[in-house]
Amino acid sequence: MSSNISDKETNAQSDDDLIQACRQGDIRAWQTVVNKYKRLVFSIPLNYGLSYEDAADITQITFTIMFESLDRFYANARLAPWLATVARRHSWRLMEHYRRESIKEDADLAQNLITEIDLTSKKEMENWALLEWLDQGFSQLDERCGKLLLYLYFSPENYTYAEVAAKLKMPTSSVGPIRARCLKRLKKLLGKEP
Amino acid sequence: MKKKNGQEFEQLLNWVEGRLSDVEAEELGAQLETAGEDTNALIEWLQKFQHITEKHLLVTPPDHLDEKLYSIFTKHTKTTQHPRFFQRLIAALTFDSYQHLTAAGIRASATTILERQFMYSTDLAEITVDSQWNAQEKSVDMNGQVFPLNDADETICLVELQKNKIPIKRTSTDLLGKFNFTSLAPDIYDIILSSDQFEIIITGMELQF
Repeated sequence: MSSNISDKETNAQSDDDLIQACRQGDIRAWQTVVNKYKRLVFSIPLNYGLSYEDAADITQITFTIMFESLDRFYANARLAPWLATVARRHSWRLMEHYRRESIKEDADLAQNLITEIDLTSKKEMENWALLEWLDQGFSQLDERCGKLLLYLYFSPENYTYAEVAAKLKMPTSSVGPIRARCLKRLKKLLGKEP
Repeated sequence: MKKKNGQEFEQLLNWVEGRLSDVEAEELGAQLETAGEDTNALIEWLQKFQHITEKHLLVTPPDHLDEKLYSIFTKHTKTTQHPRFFQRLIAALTFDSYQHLTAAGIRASATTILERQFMYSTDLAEITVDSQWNAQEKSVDMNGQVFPLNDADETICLVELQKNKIPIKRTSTDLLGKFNFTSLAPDIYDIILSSDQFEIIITGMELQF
C-alpha cells in the first residue's frame, strides 16, 4: 500500500468522524476515506463489465463528487452505500453512452434499441449489498490474506496457484493451505450475510 | 481419526471446489452423510461463498490511482455554496428513436416497433425515457431516469404525468433518479419533474407505436 496509514487506523474511525475531519481540512482523514472505500468503488464498474480504465475514471469521479458533497452529509452518514450509489450511477451513464454509440454505428437499429440490462431488480440491489458486505470483511483482513483471497476468488484474471505464488512471493505448495486459513479468518470477520 | 479443525476446513474447501481426487471425494462424501450440524453449516457457507465468487469481482485499484485520489483533496478548493433559486426549465428533445429510424429510411410498422426511447436535455439534468408496448394489454410501460449534470445534486424528485394538462399519475424517483409508469394508454403526454429547487417540464412525449 502506498499510504502510511495503518489498516487499524483506517477501520477505527467512524465515517462521521472522517467526514468531520475532512471538513476541517485534515488530509489524513481524506486519505483514510480513500483507502477504506477505493476497492469497493473501483469494483463496481468492473462488475458491470466496464474496463479497468473506465473503473479508474469512475473512481476518480466518485471521490471528487464525495469531496464536493462533504458539507451535505447528515450526521451518522454511511459512506459505503452513498459512494456505491454514485459509482453505480456513473457506471450506468457510461454504459448508456457506449450503448448510444453502438446504436449510431450499427446498421441493425431495431436490435440495438432493445434495452438489455435490468438495473432495478431486487436481485440487483441484493448483489450490491453483498459486495459491500464482502468489502467490509476484506477491510478487516490482514494484507497478505486479503491479497491472496482477492487474487484467487474475486479477480477477473482467474489466476492459477502458481501465478498467485509468484505475486505474493511464496511457494506454490503453500497457496492451498494458506488460502484455507485465510478464508477461515474471512468467514469469522464477515459474520452473517446481509 | 478426528481431524483438527483447520485440516477439516481445508479438506471441505477442497471438496466444495472440486480439488480432491475422485477417490478422496467419494470417501469424504461417504463420511459427510453422517456429518453433524456444524459441518453441514460449514459446507453450506462454503458453497454460498463459491457461488458469490462466481458472480462478483472485488479488485484493489492499482497503486498509481492512489495519488490521483489523494490529490482531489488538495487540488479542489471548496467554494461557498450560493443560495439556489427555484428554476423552471422546459426540456429539449435531443433523441427520439422512432424519428431516428424514420430518418434512416427504415419503414416502421406498429407490429415491429415495440420500444421507443427519448432523451431530453436541460441546463440542470438530462432525462432518458424508455417506453415499451405491451401487446397483450395494449398499453405502454415507461421507465425514466434523471441524470443531474452536477452530480452533487439530488436526483430525488416528484414525477407527474399529465394528459391535456390534467395530472393522471404521480410517482417519485428513487435514489438513483429512476421512475416508471405502467399500463398507459398510447397517447401524447407531458411530464413534470419537480423538487424544492427546480421544475423540469417535458411536453408532447409521444407514447405511440
